[in-house]
Amino acid sequence: MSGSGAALEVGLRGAVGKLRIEAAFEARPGETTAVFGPSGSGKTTVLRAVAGLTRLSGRLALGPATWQDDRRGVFLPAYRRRIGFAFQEPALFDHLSVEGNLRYAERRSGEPEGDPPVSFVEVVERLELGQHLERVPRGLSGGERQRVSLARALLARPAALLLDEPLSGLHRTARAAILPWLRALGEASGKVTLYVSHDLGEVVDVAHRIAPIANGSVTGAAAAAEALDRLPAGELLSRFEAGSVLTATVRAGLPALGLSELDLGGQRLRVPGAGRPAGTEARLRVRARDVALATEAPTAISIRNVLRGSVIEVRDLPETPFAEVAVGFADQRLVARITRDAASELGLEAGREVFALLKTVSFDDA
Amino acid sequence: MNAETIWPPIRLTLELAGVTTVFLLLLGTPIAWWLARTRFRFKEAVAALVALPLVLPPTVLGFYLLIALGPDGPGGFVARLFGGRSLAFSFPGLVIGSIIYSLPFTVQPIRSAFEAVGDRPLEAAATLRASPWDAFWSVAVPLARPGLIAGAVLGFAHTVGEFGVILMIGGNIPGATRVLSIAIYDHVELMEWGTAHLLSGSLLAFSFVVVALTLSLQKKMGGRDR
Repeated sequence: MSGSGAALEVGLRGAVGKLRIEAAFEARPGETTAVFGPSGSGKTTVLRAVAGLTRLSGRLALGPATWQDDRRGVFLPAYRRRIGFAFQEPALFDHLSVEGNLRYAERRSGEPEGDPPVSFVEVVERLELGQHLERVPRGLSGGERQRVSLARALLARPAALLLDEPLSGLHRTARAAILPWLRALGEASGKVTLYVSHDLGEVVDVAHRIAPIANGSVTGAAAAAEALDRLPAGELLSRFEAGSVLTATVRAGLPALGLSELDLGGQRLRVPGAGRPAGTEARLRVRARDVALATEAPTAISIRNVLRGSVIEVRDLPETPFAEVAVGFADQRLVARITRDAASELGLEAGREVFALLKTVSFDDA
Repeated sequence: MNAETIWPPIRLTLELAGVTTVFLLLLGTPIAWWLARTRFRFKEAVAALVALPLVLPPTVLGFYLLIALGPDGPGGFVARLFGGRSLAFSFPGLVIGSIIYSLPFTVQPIRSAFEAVGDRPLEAAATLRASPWDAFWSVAVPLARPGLIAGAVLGFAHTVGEFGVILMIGGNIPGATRVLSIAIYDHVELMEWGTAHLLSGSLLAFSFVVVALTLSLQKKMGGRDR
């Protein structure tokens, strides 16, 4: 992570249609901050306001550069902000070829400010646009258009990269190839990346930090794992899939069983899907409702993955019969959703040793 | 029928239509852009003003222009700056009249084309650090090109065919204001059917080509939206 970048401070409020927007968070340089929430929650509006395409009131600054400050009467128009923007519906220039679209951005990107600029060749290669350069946008598929749009945003050499569900039209495998690269690119260049999405899998793959948004309100970003633990309860539970992300090391593949064996802080896990090289790191996703808890080591049960840890906290979910229990293993944490009744019967409280039974674990990029 | 009576009106007509078209584009494009982009509440009133010559009898328009261009109008004031007395019955007067008369034919297709471009490409250009001026030339104009061509062609053709306004403000001065349509009228008056046939037939063919060209351009422009 180069220290050259500047943080993006967002402090905006206003109304768009019936939705009241309140956005107060910081996005750090070199990190990808996901603005994560259901559709209609105001994600796109917040992103457009950061870009200067929609006007809200308040203050907005990228490091020393003030983009908007209503008290001082400052409002920088979009074309004077060092941004790259990928719209959800790619807004490609139909009168230019794919290459023409990319060069349009490159020509106006200005001098690189010390950052290692991402090269035209690398962007084209990573987004697999090589054989499409001569084509016109109208002939491209939805996924191809989104890749061109993302490439164009990157070639603008932004200090803040603003992405609005940029990969929604791509297949999961294609996404899984692009997201880690995007994440690494942000780390290497020290730029701010804001990634708007309603797709939990995508967010987990790309985000260092997550700023949850609901009903127009986004009031802070937290480290990804922590934010996922704290996803809002109640009505939102049905739309968000509360869950945890674990990082484990592949020990061996078990092709005969179609499983991989992984090591998580000295404990073993078996996860469906073989063929991962031993020694590599894998991100695993576990939904909170797929985790059961026991206070004694269970025997003779079908669940293969049992992790031993200790309770970090028990949080009741208001207006539901459920509670979320955060369990820690070494430096990682896992959230289980169980009934409040069960939590009290088991006497769960912080510090208590428990066994987490993982009914379903999946590779996050599977 | 001889070359000296046939060619001067044709040359004058092409000159008038050419000069008028240049001014139509210079004037009509910003008006069309403004009408396509503004949220000004009374913009349709402005649009109606521009479109007025579509429905106004040319003689009415010509009458007011005659007054405006004459010695007592603003046209006369301008003419005096250049040592003249009046803009009526002069080539510059014809150009001014033609611009006003043909403006809706240029503005309408250009406005439609700008509206079809929409906000999105311009927003995308802004996020790529193109200033509004840059985005206008590098995105809006190329995307609206079929509309701009249609506007230019229609403005040119309409100027070639005008009669009433020119008769009112230009009279019938050979070599100065005697354009094709008026020449045809004269030939008919003088029972010179052969010349009238030749000129009318040429205008007919010219008009057909223009209309066919415009339609095919607009079809192409319509295909852009798909």
